[in-house]
Amino acid sequence: MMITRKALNRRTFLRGAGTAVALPFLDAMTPALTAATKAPVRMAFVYVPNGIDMRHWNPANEGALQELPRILKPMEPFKQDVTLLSNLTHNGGRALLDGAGDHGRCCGGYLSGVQVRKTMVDIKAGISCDQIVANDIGRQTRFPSLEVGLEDARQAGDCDSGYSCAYTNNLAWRGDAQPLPPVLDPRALFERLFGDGANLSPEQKALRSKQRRSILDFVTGDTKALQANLGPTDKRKLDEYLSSIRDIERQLLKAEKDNSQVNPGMDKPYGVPADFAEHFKLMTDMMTVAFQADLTRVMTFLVTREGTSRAYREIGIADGHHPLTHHRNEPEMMEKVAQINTYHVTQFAAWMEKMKSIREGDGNLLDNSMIVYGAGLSDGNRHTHEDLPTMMVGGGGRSMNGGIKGGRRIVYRKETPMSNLFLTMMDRMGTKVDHFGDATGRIEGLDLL
Amino acid sequence: MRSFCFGLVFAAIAAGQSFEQAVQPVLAKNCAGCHQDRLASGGFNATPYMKLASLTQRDDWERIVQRIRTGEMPPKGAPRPSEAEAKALIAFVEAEFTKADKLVKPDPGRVTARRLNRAEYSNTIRDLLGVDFRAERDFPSDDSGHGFDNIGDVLTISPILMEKYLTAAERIAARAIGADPLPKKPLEFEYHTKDKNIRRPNKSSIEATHRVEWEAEYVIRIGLPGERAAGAPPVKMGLWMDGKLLTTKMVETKPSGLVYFNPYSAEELRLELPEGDHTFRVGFIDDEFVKGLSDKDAYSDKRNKFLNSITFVGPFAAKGERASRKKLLICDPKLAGCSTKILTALARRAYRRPVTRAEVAALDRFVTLAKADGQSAEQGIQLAVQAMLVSPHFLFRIERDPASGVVHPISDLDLASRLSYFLWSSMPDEQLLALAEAKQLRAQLDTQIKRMLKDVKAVSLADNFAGQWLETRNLDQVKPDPKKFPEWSPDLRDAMKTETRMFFQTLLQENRPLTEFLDANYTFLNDRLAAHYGIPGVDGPEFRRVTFATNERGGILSHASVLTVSSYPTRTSPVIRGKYVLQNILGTPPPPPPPDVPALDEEKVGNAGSLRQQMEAHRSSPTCASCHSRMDVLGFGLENYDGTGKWRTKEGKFEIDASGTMPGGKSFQTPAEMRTILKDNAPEFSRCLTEKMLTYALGRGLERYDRKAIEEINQRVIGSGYRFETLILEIAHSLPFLERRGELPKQVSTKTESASR
Amino acid sequence: MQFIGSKPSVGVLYDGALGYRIDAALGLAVLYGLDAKNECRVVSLSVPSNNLHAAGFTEVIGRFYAGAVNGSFGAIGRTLPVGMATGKPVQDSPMLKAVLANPAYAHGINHLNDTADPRAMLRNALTAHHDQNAVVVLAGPATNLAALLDLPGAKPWVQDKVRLLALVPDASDLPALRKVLAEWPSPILVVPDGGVFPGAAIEKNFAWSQSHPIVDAYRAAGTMPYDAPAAPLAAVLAAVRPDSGLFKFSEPGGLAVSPQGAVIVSGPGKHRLLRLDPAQKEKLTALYVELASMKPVPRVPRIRRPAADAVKPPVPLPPPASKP
Repeated sequence: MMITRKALNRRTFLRGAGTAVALPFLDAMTPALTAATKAPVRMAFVYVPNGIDMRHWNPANEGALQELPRILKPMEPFKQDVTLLSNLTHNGGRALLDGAGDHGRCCGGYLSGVQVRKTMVDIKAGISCDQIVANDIGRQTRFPSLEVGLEDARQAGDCDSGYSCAYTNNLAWRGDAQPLPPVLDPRALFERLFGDGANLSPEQKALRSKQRRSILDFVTGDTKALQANLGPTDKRKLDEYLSSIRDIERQLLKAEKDNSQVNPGMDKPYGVPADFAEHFKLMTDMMTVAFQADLTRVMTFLVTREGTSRAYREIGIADGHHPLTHHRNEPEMMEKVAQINTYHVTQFAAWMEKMKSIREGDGNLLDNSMIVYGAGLSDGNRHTHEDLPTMMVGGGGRSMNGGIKGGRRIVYRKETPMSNLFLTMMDRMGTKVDHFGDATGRIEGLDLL
Repeated sequence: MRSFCFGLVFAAIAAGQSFEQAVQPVLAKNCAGCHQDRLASGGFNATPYMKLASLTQRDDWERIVQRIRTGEMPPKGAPRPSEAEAKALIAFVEAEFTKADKLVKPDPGRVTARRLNRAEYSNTIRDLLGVDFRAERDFPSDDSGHGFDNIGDVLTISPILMEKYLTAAERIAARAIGADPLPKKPLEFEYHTKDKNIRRPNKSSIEATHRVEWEAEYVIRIGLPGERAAGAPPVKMGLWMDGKLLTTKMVETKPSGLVYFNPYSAEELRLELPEGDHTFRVGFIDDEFVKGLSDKDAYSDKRNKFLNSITFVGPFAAKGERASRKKLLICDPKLAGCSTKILTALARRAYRRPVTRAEVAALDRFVTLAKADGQSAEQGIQLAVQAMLVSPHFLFRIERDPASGVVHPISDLDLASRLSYFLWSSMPDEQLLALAEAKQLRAQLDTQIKRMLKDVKAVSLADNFAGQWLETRNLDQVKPDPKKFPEWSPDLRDAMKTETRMFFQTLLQENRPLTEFLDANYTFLNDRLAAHYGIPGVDGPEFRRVTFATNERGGILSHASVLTVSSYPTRTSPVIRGKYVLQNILGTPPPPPPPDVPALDEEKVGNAGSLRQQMEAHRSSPTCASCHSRMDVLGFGLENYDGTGKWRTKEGKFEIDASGTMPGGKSFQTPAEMRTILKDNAPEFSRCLTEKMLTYALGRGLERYDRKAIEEINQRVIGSGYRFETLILEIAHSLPFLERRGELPKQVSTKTESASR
Repeated sequence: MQFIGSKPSVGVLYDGALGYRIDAALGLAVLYGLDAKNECRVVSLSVPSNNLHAAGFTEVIGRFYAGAVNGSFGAIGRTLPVGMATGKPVQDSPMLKAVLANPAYAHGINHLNDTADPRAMLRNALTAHHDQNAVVVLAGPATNLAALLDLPGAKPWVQDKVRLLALVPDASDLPALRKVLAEWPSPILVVPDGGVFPGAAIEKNFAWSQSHPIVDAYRAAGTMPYDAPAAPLAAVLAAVRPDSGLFKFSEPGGLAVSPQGAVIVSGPGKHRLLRLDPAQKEKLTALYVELASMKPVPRVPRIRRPAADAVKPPVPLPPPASKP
């Protein structure tokens, strides 16, 4: 018998009792999300390093967006969904008492609004806002959150002036000392989201799940017994282990109840593409499906790392990104930086186009999402942490109670903490917290529908 | 950081001098001009340090001594102390340090529970179960601290890593034991160019990614349409899996004599394939015939014989038992009591210690569980193995303390693990484990270490320690600009890696003096690398030892690997190389750059000068010069080696000027002369290496209380003539390695004040 | 390079009714005078009145003394934003009208978002200080300081970093004043009276500059010649030079506000009242004049930026002192 087999077929095919459902997902079968009920709000953070050439990012005026500056030009077709936020600041990224290390600080504290501890080993950041939301609503989806990236971690040497590489390798933090490493390999992301393609019968799958859970039970018991005799530091280490196990147990239980496997309508990728744009597109295509099929509602995307020396030969730039951003006002280098910034936004715009093309309820997937595209530094040459370039795309649940009115630039007061934005976003996700990071309150002006 | 001998000799001079005689006047005359209350250059105000009591500010005083010793301070143009004055000051201060150190209670420190990093995981699986599992490909990267990725505090576990551990455990257990039944009928999976699920990397090869569901034997059928001209020679066809060549076969390409509308033939290979996703490539090796063909002709079955499909047929039960399975199943699982025997033996090795009956009983329950679900006893054992591989006892190296806060020697079993993960990045072998169980390990420490160093597994020290110390691991990530460096290729990169690895291993195995790192008249080359270096007479892809005819190169600072990872993609960087030498060779890393680096100059130097000329501006400002006078000089001395380590005498149209003067006054004209000067710093180098290796061996950063241990180790290494083996033995005998301090129940944070909350 | 042994000089966070009280402006001038002598650093400026012109006036003074470049707050070469309260809007005063009408003075405050939320401003300024190395001087309504106390997480910063709050009682916001006196974690020095600042000095000692915002403000704030009250000046001096011997201090105690807005020391506590020493009157007045009229010492930025970026200070400045 000959099976002509591609990695994953476009045709719907059955896997056991659960159905591999072809897209579009929401409009079709799931009773939880019919047109009558509201589509959930999604949240994503996209992070680019080494600052952005602010001359070509900030429009001349406040209010309605008119002529988009050069770096934002690729967003022209979605201008009405774009809200540009100016004067947001991360005080925790500044040196304060700790001297050099702006790259380590600005990424380590970006989503948590704290100043990270300057150390190579006993790392301490803070829980990031996406994880606060994931802890709150994550139970409702198969994955509480998704962490994605494109650039591998630095393998040897130090990262930034006395700051552990953990601060620049990761964007999401589950706790003070527990970063969540991003998935970099498209194939790994595919397998994680859509199954590893193993041909198991439903009985086999159920058995495997049951056995996995009994293993997890066993090790949980072992660990608790072990912890009883350990000092506090070791105990904390094993707590990380235990909390990770609990997460997986929850996932397994969920998967047992909801047996379906999503068919993303694309082939499993071979591996990591050499071309940046292709890698970006592969990952964001899968992220779109993850949102669409409600596999998760919280995502972080670390495009490249702070301090990266990645060259962008795809657009003819052979110099490393980070060295270029220390241009000391040399026009040639500044031009190259602007090109890199624009290149990033171009890829991002392609993703937004995809999100916008997916119908959902009365609108589209982008209407029900809040995607923040930003950098942890504004001027990469001088390492400034105020007026951080921040763009919010999406309606934040426009089909529901109001929504974000886009097509504007809002200039906040100077020194307005970025944490205020994150607090407001958490509100929209339905996660009410009293205080977050260094926030002074919520920000205004996002809802004006 | 500082030479003990230096201090000793001149302590004699300083003896009898007081602070007011040896230290205070120097500070007042030479430092206070720029460093006082009103004007505190670089944030340093020397006034508080003119009192004897200030010597308790150890870190600050070390920095002061450091600057004076290297001659960085006072900067050029400022009144300098005489050599005798400077030495007297340093000697006095260091004598005080020594006194203070003597009063410090010996403290071995403690390591946080460490999880196995990727390399350690892979090696341990290999040694425990005989399965080849590549964690580096699958698991997320390990965060590193202090330059190494085996630091307990920094290695964290996230849910995604835990998922990977679970999946990996399933795969590994299945591969080790192979208890899951294979499908009754073999399946076929075809990858064909017409289905577009196969790639063509070049005209003579095809590549597909295939998931092998079961580890077993497979028939791999390769489709070869077409025929070549009569008389065309047979060509060697190779099959690679994940870049490794599995097998080759000679293939006829001339017309077969049979009549076909579309000539076609197929070759079959029968191989055992490991489970998982693999990239398979089939291609012709050294295919001369295709070189002359156009793209159209290459895929025309009238003009050429080429490849167009790979079909996997299987799985077929492998003949003969897998080695890993044989080793594990020491008795027949179907018999009573056998599973207990197997699990006891395995758990002891997996947990790296004797196991209790209760622990084995808990594992045995998995066998019962599996049987209750209709599986075989073997599958039950497989399940138990899975459980072991995600147990904290396996994944973590946890050392127990008998009571809190107490300093105690670590148990022999903990010592066995420390040794094996230090030297092999893997689990203790049977001999170590047995000795540890019998509490005989300490008595035989030296013998065991020597044995371990001779073992082939000691290559891990080269791969993991040297790869991170010398940062050569980054070779996998650097991307030299193809326009500037057209010779760069994966082959060259691998050759560079091999050179450094072999060099390190040779120094280790032959117990050479550490100074050979700084300068040696030999290295290891193959034809590719020798061509890169411009060294004639080296043929063939194998590596062999080569003695240099000139002193153009010598030691690791002339290894292409080191020179490439310390450059930018498009050019060299004397600053990065200087920092590299300071950090990794001399152990005196420069402080981080100030937040706002000022524009080098108002007018752009641009193409009017060589890189070196442009950087002279670093030295024009005293604030910049304080660090750059040390750093840049070392980088300039390496400018004869371009961004991929090739020798050059010109940079574009400018002559390379590799001369320089160290802040202390010594000058050099060539890299060789600079190396000679560096050899004078051999004590600093060996101390630097001691610190790095001790960090790696302990899995924690070094603290103030480790200084004494470092000093003692360094002294003994120097005393032995800088022998490599001495370093390893002394580390293994040191206090921090053999002992441990228990943790108090409520650990108080040691940070005094902080802007972070 | 941070040497543990040496801390920078004390950082002063100045919050005052600039534009509405001439003594607040004089106090700021004295503060910059002390900054010029490296005895302290001006690290934060905020106004408790909701009027963009008041914020603009503050920035005018800031730029006058420190150029467009203020060297504190962790970022060299960045103008300090001015924190401005947002309560009931207040009208322009003659002082504001006079100063801002003069084209010699430039500032960049045209919209609300050119100012900072004073709570964020004050809190962020505090985070950059070593423990107990910051002082707060209040020369106006306590609106901003009261708001700061209500900001979650701000009180611990105040407690750790502020060594003293030197406060000139201002009855315009009694609830805020009461709140601050009751809840402020650091010791408070109340300065009800600081003597006078001689109006004659305005004509004489400031003549080295063609246009000087303090002079213009002074002239517009009253009919010349008049002597201005000087409580904020005393507050600044006492905060930066605690051991000057120029003042007398009450025994420590608690603080309470009378219905008329006067602050009294009563009961147990760690706060003090500042009293003038008649014997020091002349010395004090001379010191006020000397410090308020000091020429600005520009902090030369480490970056020499392209000419287009630089904002020219309004007066020709003396050449910087030559380095050893």
